[in-house]
Amino acid sequence: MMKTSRVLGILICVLFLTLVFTAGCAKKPTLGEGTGGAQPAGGQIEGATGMAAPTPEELAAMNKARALKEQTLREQAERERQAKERAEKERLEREKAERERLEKQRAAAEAEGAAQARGEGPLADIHFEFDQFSLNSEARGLLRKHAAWLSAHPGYDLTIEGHCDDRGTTEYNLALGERRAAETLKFLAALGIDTARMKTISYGEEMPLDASGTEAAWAKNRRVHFVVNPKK
Amino acid sequence: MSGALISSNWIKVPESRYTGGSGMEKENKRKRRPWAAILLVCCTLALWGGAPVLRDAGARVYIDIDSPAFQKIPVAVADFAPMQGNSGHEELSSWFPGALNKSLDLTGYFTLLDAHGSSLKANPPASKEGGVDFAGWSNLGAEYLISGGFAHHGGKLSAEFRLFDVVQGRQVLGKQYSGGFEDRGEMVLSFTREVLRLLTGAEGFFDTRVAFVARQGQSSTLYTAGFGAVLGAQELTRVMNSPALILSPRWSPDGRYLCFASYRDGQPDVFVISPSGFGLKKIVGFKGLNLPGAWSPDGRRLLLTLSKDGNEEIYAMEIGSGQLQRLTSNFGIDVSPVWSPDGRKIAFVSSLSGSPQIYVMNADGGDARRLTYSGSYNTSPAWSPKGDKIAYEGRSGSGYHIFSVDEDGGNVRQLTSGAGDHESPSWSPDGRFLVFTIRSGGRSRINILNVNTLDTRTIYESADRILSPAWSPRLK
Repeated sequence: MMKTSRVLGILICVLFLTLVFTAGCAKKPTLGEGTGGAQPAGGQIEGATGMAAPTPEELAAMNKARALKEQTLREQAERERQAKERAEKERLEREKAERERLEKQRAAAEAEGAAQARGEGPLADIHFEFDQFSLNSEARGLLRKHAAWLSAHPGYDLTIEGHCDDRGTTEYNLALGERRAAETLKFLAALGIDTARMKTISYGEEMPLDASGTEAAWAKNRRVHFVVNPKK
Repeated sequence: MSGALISSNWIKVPESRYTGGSGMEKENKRKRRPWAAILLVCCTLALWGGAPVLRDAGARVYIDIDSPAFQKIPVAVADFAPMQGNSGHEELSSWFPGALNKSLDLTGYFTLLDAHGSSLKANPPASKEGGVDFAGWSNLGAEYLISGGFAHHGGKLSAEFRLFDVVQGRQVLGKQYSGGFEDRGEMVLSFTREVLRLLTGAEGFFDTRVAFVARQGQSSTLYTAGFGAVLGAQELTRVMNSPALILSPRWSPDGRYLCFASYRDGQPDVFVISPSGFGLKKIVGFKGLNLPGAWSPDGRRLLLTLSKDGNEEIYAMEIGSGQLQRLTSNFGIDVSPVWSPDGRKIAFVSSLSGSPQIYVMNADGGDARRLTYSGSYNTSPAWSPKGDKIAYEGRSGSGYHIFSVDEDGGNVRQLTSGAGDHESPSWSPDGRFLVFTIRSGGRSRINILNVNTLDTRTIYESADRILSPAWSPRLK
């Protein structure tokens, strides 16, 4: 914003100066005739005090030369103006492209985050029964796959997040979420995953995936979620 | 009497109120505490009709508000009258009774009769025709009558409040306040306390606050709220906010600190802060879960839930030295520990039986026994300051409700009813009220409950998720 207005300001200054310059030139024929156009107002006075008047041919030639020069200056100014406009346009386009690129990047990151949140990361969420932290057979099946993925990707660390549905007590659910995460870590460790690669954190009922308050939503919220990070 | 009141500064008001041109006298402006300011001229009013004031508190028979047979006290609050010298703010004649009705009603001890616009005489102040139509008020059903008057002039407000015993036909309490116009809410709360004290001997809760967490997504704000909010007299005080989760605030017994859990360093750790928002400090940050339980009654120890040793166990920490004592050791989840008021026992939640239930153990961790047997989900114990009862949150039907149980496990009583999840009970300092949250229909409320009458009143409501209300001790 600041940048644009500064550039605009400079542009306006340049245009203004050009205008003054050309306007000055345009006026000159009516003023300092016979002084080559370089001298201002005094010319007429000098002329009036008896300087040799130019012949009509000379006058015409001088006028023509001046007009030509003015024309050149005008064209030059116009070219400069156009060059500036082009540069400005290109700059704006570049900025727009950069913005679009960043926006795309952000949207991609967001989509990835949302996918992660939906359990669509490389390691899908596992789910639990109400008020339970034991791993059911479905969860164990998934964890075996996760262990295989982790073995195949030794460059990644794992954060195991324990979550609960939003019924019940904040504090008890924090403890329950911690226990769900801990049980998961224990199971993965038993499958040979180095505990140094894994850490647990409980969010209790504080980060529901689905806050609609239905049985289906609660079931979705009772989960362990996996976040894989490249090793530092 | 006024000494006790002057020492109460539970109301937090912006500093600017005392430096701005409120029209108060210089001496008033220097005072930093609103109670002190408004009570500069607070005196017991001369008796109307020459009858003696009841001075002898020892001889006074209080209404027994703890009796199961307690009947609410019928009170009428007459319209206030403009007194000599009043100019403007005529609306105060109905504002004062409205505010008194609200503050008295908050306690659940009064039936408030509709006296607005009544033509019954109620001792208009500074009037020669003054008089109280005791028979008329009695016919209306009132046992007590409150009337008063006000004079507002040049930014200064003076008001007088009188309480009449309608049955005996005499004034039993009179108070005069002066201060700024903006102090009118504090005047009402002050008089409400006087009425409560005179009739019931109870101190009420107007000198306390409730800490709680408001949540939007993970963004959390820790607030304290006073009871003047119902009068529109007072804003919430924001203690701190954070983009990370804040959980489970707990007051120190002297009211000078709040501890709570925060995820600001990426995992739940325990912090302390002053209620005015200064001096944030992390005090517990082991690997895994770090949750605060209650402070010990002497303020020297803090109960904790930690998972550092592999499973959620209860510990007591010496606050000065940081020394930990592990109190539980079992494969279940142990969480939410609170001390008994004498510090000799601890109530907590354990899932040892397969579902979360309330347990009580000795302060050294010995002799744990299960307290609750009905229901499959009983959590959030809160030990009454009177020592006799433990309140908790239990699943009942489709929702969660507040219950109480005696220390020996007997006398289980469901205290709340109706739709919504009722959670996180916390006792008032006198053990007569509980504060808790209700979540229903996308809104959260903080309610207080009169444990004898079971009246509930909403003190705060929000579209934010409200968590973990914690009732403060009496704040000096």
